[in-house]
Amino acid sequence: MTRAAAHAEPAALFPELPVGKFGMWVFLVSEIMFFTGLIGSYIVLRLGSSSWPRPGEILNTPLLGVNTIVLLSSSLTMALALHAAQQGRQAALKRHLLLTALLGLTFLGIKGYDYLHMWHEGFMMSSSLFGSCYYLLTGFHALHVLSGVILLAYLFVVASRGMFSATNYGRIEYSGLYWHFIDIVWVILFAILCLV
Amino acid sequence: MTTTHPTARTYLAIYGWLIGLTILEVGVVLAGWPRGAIVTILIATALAKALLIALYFMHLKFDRPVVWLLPGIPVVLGIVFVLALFPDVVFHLVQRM
Repeated sequence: MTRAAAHAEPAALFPELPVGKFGMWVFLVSEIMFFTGLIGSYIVLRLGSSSWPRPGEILNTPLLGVNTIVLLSSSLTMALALHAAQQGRQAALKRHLLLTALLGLTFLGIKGYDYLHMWHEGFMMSSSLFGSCYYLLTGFHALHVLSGVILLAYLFVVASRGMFSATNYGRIEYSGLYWHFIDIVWVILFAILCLV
Repeated sequence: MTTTHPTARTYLAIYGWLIGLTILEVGVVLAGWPRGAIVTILIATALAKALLIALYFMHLKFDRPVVWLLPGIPVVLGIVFVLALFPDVVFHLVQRM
């Protein structure tokens, strides 16, 4: 079977779903299980603890709110990158991919500043159960954002070579699924970890 | 690839909703509303935001319903996982009282 034929063959259980997209969804299923385990453990630990600090007393809520807006903005630019690819607008595709990667790096930069500030204030991973949960959950999420930025850099290089078109934009769509998933995870973490 | 896609205007409208809900979240926390109200609003807004991203940015609204099975099954299993541990949490809470 040629590579093109393999790409076109739909998954048996999901007709009309390209194999690449099916593969990305299967990968995201494992990611959902991973984060569900972490978030579920956090909820159980928190409900089972007799005392728990108010996040607002430790965390910089407005700064984390700004970081949330940065990541949401990157989801918009990723969606617009796919939109541009579908219309064959190469310059807009490259611009939006670059913007998405830069917004991802901005998110990581703000997160790094947030970590440094909290370490300076004496809030470490070993400070409390909340400290362990906060650094573990946000740290794993940040690693996923970093992976996404690397993926976006790869897509930008491929787009710069003109390898995407109005009929060939699968990799943009599948990578977008991953990027938006990272956004959803942060939306939930922001609410349950940083605000409640 | 999906056959139907949202327009750029739809993406911008969804983005507007996401930003608005985020401002609402931070606003109710900083305003110091009663804890019960804050928790209820935050859970509702976080779920609404997650759903908007999944439906429009991830195109689930435009995919065949069977695709929902892929993310739906682990999400349901995750909720069951947390709920299954609730009796243990409640048992420890009662013991401490």
